[in-house]
Amino acid sequence: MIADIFGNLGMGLSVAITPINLLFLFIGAFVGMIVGLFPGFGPAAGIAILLPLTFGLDPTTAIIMLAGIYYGAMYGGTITSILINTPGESATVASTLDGYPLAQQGRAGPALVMQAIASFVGGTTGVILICALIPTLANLAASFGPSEYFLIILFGLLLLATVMGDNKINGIISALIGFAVGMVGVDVISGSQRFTFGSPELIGGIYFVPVAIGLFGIGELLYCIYIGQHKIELKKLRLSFRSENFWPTRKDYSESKFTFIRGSVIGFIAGLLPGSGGTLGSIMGYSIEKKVAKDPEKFGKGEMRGLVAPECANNAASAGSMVPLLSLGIPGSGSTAVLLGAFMMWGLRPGPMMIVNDPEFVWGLIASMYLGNIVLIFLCIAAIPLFVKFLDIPYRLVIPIIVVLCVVGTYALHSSIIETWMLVAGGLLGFGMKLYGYSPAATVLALVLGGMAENTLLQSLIASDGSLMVFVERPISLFLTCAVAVVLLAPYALKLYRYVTKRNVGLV
Amino acid sequence: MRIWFSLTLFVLSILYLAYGLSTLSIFTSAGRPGPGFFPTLVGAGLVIFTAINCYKDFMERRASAAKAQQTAMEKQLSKFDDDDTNDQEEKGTNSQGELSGQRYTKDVVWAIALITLFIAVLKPLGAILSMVVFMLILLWKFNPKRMKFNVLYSVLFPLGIYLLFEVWLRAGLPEGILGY
Repeated sequence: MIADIFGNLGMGLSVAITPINLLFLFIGAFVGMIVGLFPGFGPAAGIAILLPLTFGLDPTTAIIMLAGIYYGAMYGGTITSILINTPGESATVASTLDGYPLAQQGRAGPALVMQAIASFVGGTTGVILICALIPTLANLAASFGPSEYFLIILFGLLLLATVMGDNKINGIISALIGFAVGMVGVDVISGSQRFTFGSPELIGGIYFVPVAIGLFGIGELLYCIYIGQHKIELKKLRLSFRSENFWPTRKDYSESKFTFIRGSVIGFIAGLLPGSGGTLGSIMGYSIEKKVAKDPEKFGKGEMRGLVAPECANNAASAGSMVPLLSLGIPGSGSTAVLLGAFMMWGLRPGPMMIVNDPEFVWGLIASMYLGNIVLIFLCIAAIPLFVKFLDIPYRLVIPIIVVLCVVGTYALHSSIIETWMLVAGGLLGFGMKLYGYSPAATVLALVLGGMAENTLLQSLIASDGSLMVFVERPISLFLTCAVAVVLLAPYALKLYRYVTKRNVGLV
Repeated sequence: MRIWFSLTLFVLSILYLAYGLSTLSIFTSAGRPGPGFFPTLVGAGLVIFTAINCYKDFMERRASAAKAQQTAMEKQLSKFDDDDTNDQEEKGTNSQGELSGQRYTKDVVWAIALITLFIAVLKPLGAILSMVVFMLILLWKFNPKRMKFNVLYSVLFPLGIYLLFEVWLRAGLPEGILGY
C-alpha cells in the first residue's frame, strides 16, 4: 500500500517536474494568492476569471496552473483575515477569530508565518491522504451504476444547497436554476432541441464558463460595489523581516504541534463530503481545537492554536475536495465545479476510468499539489511584505481589471458576443443571488453536473422499467438513498425533537 | 426589493415549465422518459420552491409594514407625551437613514451600464479602444481625484491585456474601426 503510494507519487512527480509546469505552477500560486487577497474573490472566482488565460497551454500545464490558483487563493485569503479582519473568502472566516486579535497585539508577523506553515502542513497531509484514498475510492466507484451516480450527485447538491447555506429553499432554487440552464441545447438521448427558441447559437447548449465567470466574477464585483468596498480608504500596512517579533517563538510551535495534526485530519474529512469543503472544515477545526484545549478561554483573544487549526483544516479540506472530483468525477464545491469544467474543456473526464486510462495526468496533478504547497510556503513567507503591499491597492482600481478580464476572457473563449452577453446575465443573477442569500456555487455545480444527473436518472429509470426500487436495491444505492433522506429530513426531525423537549419541560 | 427578485424567479420558472410542457414530450411513445421528463421535474420544482419564497417574502413584507405602522403610531403618541423621547426617535431615524445610505445602488447601476456599454461597443470599436473607453469612464466615476493616473492606467492596462490575449494566446479579439 505504502509502496504503491510512493510509486504513484513518483510517477506524478516525473510528470509534474518540468520547467514549464513548475513555471506555471509558480505563476498560478502567485496569482492565486493575489486573488485571495481581494475580499469577495475566492478560488472559484479566481479560477473562472483566469480560465481563458490557460488556453495557449498544454492541458496538464493548464490544470496544474489552475490547481495552483486554487491553493494560492486559499493561502492568500488568510492574509486579509489576519491583517484587516476581512476574510478573503468564507473558508478563512474562522481564521479571523484569533488571527486578527494576534495582529492587534503586534504579532501579525508570527501569525502570518504560522498560517503559512499550517496551510503547508494541512495541504501536504491532504495530498498524502489523497494518494491513499483515490485508488481505493476509484476501485469502489468502478462498480457504481447510474443509480449510484445519480444519488451521489443528488447528495452532493443537497448538502451544498441545504447544509451550507443560510436558507435551504434558496439553496434548492439555486441548484434547480443550474439544472434549468443546463437543459438548454440538444437532448443527447432523443436528439430533440430543448429551450433553444430556434436559435442556432443555443443548439450547443449554454457553455458553463461564461455563466460561472458571470456568477462568481461580475456578481461578486457588483455586490462588493453595492456594499461600498470601492469607497474604503485603506490604511497603509507595513511588515518587514527586520521588524521586531516577525518570526514565531518556540512556544508558538510547541503549543501547536498537535493542533497541526488534528486540524489537518478534521479538514480532510470535511473536504471529502460533497458540498462542505473548506468553510465547514475550518469551522470544525477551530471548534474542536477549542473544545480539546485546557484553556479554551484564551481562544478568540489572539491564541495561536485558534489560527493554526482552521488554517490546517481549510487547506486539508481543499485537498480532500479533490478526492470526489478525481475518483468519482463529481465536484463537491463551487471551486472544484469550475475545475471540473476546465477538465472537460480540455477533453478530460475525471472519474474511475481516468485513473485507469490516464494515470500520468491524475498523479501528475496530485504531485503538483504537493509541489504547489512547497512553492506556496516559500512564496508565502518570503513575499509577505510584498503581499501586504498589494493590500494598499484600493478596490476601485481593481474593478476595471476584473471587468476587462471577465469580458475579454469570455469573448476569447469562442469569439462569441452572445456568450459575452450571457456573462452579463450571469453577473446580474449572481448579484441578486448574493444579495438575497442564494448560492451561486450550487448553481454552477448543478449546471456542470446537469447533463450527468439527467442521463444517470433516465438510465436508471429505463433499466428498471420506471421502478424507483432501483434506488434501494443495491447496498450502496440503499446507503446513498438513506444519506439523502437524512440530509432532507434531519433538520425537521431536529426541530420536532426540540419542540417535544421544550413542551415536556414546560409541562414539568 | 427581495420580493421582486423572488417574483421574477417565480414568473421565469412558470414560463420555463410552460414552455417545456408545450414543446417537449414527457414520455416517449414506448412509455419511457422523454426529452421533457427531467426539465419538467426541474421546472415543477422551481415553480413550487419559488412560490414558497414569494409567499414567505410577502408575509415578511406585511409583517414589517405592520411593525412600521405600529412604530409610527407609537411615535405619534409619544409626541404628545415627551419631547425628549421625540428627539431620540428622530436620531434613530437619522442613523437608519445613514445605514441605508451605505448601500451604493447608484454605483451598481453605473457599473452595470458601463459593462453593458463595454460589450455593446466591443465589436464596433475593437478590443483596445473599447477597453480604454470603458476604463476611462469607470475611473472618472469611481476614482475622480487622480485623472492623470487614470489616463495612464486606462491606456497601459488594455495594452497589456491586448498583448496577453492577442499576441500570446492568439484569441482573435475584435478589430473594430482601428483594425486592432
